[in-house]
Amino acid sequence: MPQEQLAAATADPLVRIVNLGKSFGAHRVLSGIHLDVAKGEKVSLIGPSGSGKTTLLRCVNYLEEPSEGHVFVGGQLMGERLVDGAYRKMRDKEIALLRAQIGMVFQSFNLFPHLTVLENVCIGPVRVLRQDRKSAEAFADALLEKVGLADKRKAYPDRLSGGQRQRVAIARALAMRPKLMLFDEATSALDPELVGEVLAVMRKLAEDGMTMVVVTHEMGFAEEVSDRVVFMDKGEIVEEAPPGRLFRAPAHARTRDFLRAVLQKKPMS
Amino acid sequence: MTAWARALPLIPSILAALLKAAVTTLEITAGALAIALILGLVVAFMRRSRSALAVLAAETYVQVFRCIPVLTQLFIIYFGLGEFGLRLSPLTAAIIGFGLNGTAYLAEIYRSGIDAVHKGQAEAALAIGMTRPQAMWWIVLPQAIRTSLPPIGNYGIGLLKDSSIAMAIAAPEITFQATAIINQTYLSTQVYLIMTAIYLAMSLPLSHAVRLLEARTGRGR
Repeated sequence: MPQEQLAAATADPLVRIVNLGKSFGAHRVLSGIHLDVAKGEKVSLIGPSGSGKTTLLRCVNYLEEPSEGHVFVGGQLMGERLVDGAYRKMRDKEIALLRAQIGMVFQSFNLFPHLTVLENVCIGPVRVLRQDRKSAEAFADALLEKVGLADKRKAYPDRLSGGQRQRVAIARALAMRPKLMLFDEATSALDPELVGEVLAVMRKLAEDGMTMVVVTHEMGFAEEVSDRVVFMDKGEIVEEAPPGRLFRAPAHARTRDFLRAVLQKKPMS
Repeated sequence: MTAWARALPLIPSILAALLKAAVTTLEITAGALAIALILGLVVAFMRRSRSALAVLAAETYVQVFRCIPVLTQLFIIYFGLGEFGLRLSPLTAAIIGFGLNGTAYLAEIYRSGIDAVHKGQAEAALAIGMTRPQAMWWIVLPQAIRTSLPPIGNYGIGLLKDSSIAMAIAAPEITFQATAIINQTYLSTQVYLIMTAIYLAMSLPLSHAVRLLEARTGRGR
């Protein structure tokens, strides 16, 4: 994304995370997170396991309720409403409405095993957006075509490989016509030979201009596709920079240590 | 004349009477199962509700009905309610009694079925914009019922046999009828054999159906 375009977009970010904190009981997972994501921007979250990347991602669509701070998506406060100067939790229905605009892809795919591939992709538009089945199926077929699985429309998820399942999961999220896509380690559960096909779909999506926040261990992908890489450790953002700078000249020792560990491990895995 | 020789001409009428009683047995089983299938789901949902009162009510229900013999429950419904002017027929009392008792069991079966559905399923449903009730109805429950079908089927077979307990409140099911016939004819062995054959003819196909279900539930997971 060109620099001046980015600057213009950042003035009115699609995602704005303000002073976000999250604790599970006494265990502090996130603290003091500030992050803006511009429309069309691709941001990768990297860092050691347990650094809070996934929790941060889950706070964006309110699958996880923040303990402190706020998340705005498209200018809308997620999960809360400001009533007479006080924040009140939204009702289930209102939260669902906001979530419908955000696609999420999970590490473990979470396809619905009792539904066919086509039904997996259609169920959101039909049940949530109340589209008629025919147009929902037409769009679902177009998406399945796009992820290269048109021939699997009648198959059940247990007949698919991991890579195919994840591509269906991406199509399922896209069927809601989201304005933002969240990827939670979308390739971590895949056999190495299946990673490529999923990354290819994600790359295509990025080229189409989708705004993406990607938690990933695929440093090559993060470097190639992201506009910005955010390095997290111990629940905090340590540094964020364009990939070229973060990978070649990290400013912090923690980032350097992490990158060294990850890149050394790479040839062995 | 031996009992067998005496029994032979009577067999058609004994068989007819017992087959008629078998219909009552099936009525009790089907009626009670229908009540338990629906109320069991209600109780299972109550146990998962956010209202502490609903959870307490549901848990109390399950505990109480599981810990009292079904015979006692039938007595309370048939004789006990009669004291308060609510006179039910033995058949109705049996259907309600077994139904309320079965509700407690089915609530447990549903609950373990729902618990067995991976947490990621509900999350994926929420992530595409479903509300919690929608996620339960469209995504979690169909999977939960699938895993619950074999235990529900087993419960149904158990119910078919246990419905004989309803003879204690004079519901005209097979065992009650058989006993009545024996009292008139003293042909105990013969009548019991016919009764056994009828029970087998009803439960064997059921048990076969449950086995088919068990084999099928493995699919698509």
